[in-house]
Amino acid sequence: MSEHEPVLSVQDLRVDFSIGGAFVPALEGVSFDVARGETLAVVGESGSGKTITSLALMNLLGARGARRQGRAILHRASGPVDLLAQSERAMCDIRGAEIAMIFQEPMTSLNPVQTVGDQICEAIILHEKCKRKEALERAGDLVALVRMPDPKRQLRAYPHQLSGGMRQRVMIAMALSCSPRLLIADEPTTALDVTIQAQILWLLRELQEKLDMGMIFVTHDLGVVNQVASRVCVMYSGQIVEQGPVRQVFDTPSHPYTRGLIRSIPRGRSAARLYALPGRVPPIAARPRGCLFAPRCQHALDGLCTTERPAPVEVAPGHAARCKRLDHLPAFERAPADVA
Amino acid sequence: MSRDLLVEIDGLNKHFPVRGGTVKAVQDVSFAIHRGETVGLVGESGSGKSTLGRLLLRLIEPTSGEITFDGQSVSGARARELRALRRRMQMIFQDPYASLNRYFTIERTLTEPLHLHGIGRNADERRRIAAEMLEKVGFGPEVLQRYPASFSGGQRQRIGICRALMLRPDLVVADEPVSALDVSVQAQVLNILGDLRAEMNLTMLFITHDLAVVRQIAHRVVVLYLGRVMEIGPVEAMFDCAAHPYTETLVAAAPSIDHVIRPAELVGEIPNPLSPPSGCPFRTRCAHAVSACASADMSLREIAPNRFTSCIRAAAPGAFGQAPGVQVPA
Repeated sequence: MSEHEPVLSVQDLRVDFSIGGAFVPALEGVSFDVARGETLAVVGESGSGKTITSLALMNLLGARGARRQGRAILHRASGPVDLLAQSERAMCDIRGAEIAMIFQEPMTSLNPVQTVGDQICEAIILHEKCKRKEALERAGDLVALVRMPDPKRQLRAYPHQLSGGMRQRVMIAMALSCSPRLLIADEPTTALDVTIQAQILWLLRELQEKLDMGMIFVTHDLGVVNQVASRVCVMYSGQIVEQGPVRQVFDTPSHPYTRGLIRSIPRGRSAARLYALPGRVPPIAARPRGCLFAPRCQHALDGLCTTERPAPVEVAPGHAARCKRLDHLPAFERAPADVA
Repeated sequence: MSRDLLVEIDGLNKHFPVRGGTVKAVQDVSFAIHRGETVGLVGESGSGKSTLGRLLLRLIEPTSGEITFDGQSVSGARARELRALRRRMQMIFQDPYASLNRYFTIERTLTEPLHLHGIGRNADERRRIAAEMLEKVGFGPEVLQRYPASFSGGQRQRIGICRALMLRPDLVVADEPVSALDVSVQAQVLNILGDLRAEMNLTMLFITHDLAVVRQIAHRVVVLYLGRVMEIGPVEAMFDCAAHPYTETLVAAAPSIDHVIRPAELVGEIPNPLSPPSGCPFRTRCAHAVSACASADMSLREIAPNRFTSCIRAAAPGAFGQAPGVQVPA
């Protein structure tokens, strides 16, 4: 079984942005592995760095003075390569073929004046150097694979003729067109209605298992994480503050930020007040020294938590949190509202 | 008519002519809101929930139907009467970036409604009223001179709430007020809304697609699908035991950290609103549908105290398929 064979291994990824002439870190010490047939969720609020992580891996940060450091080893059939050390030309061969990506808004990601079939064919022809007829046949199979009814007709449709859910299925079909080893899905269901979201989540889960792909699923929604992933990285202010198996992280969260996040999800009976994290995420240029969460943390100690970034501490096999006060935190309790 | 009712909506319809036909965005909707009550209006895109919110404030004109506010007709009000009514009903919008004028200081944004309605003798007094209200949403008076650009999304939404409350309205229509916010900020804003509701004895129509949020804030819920009311009932009872299969589907499909969605719970696409299915619009996706559903009359039935459903197959909340008097072909 290929269960634990890694597809991607990210080590100490750091991204700095040039802001006003100085480099400011946007991501620091980001490390994780994704195995074949595994889905890793990257979850965080706005400004946590979750999207920058996926764009950095694909070298899609653009020319805005972004500097990347660290290693991101992609295990290809032909051997390992470091994604951060590839030329743009080499990345063109990797993107779409080895790593594919799907985005939040399928309408802006699709070309409005091209048929669905032509758009799916484009990547196939580009990467697999095959004839259009052959590519179109593949496209038909892919459209059936993502469970779109009446595949032949769908191939001739334009994006505006499809619903949001169907457009996202087209995006998934395009992403899978060259059988990638790794799929990066960045908030793929955020723009969809809840019943349609559930269908797409289910489809992604099923396809990922069937095709034995690795998947990185970027989202702000902890409930969505629970539907698709086996492991989760919780990001805050450009760092992974906690990482571990989904059930473990949700049932026994270690980091005070993860705990606050879980407790602020409304899910109890009405009338009870929700837990609200105090303060707000610091802007990128004004991040504190020491623990990034310390200014908002009720357990933070002056000195211990305010001088250097905490290193990840393992709390259980495969479950780690960046907090120096783990031994002194009380046992986690869900919000009182939750106790029925 | 009960004095306890602040809002009554009766047989409300809104049709939008579009190329290729008519979208019946709101169809034969009737319900009432009690004083001090929060009614959650839940549905997916195209359900008509935002249209209904706008109709209620008469920001758009209904095709037919009657809206009554505190015994006065909203739908029949003339411009002058409407202006007086509007002072008592306000709206909070979804997008805190688009709904504040970025060229106005917070002071100007907050005091403008006071100006329009002739409240406060002079600028000083209006500023004082604004500062008082700002304090209720957790800001000091120093923010009066700032512009929206210097606030985060959550802060802007608190300012939007503050603006809606400046005239001390009786009714607030909140259209997805926390949907654009991160979960931790969402919690702050929901708490503030809950506190102010109690303090100012507000009546609310809370429009959302998020069932967890509705469960947090609403007393009763109206579930809409393709412009039709599917179910009306008290929030907890509805979550425990739905009275319409659509509600059941919505509850099951909501992603939660506590359960994993089963694939059997979700079928089909939301139909084209230009040609919705006849009878019950949900029948094309419903596991309990029978041929009688295609010609079903969509009027609400009370199948348990305060539990209203349009499903002809609902015998009791949570029990579908045994409705008395419905012929089920073998």
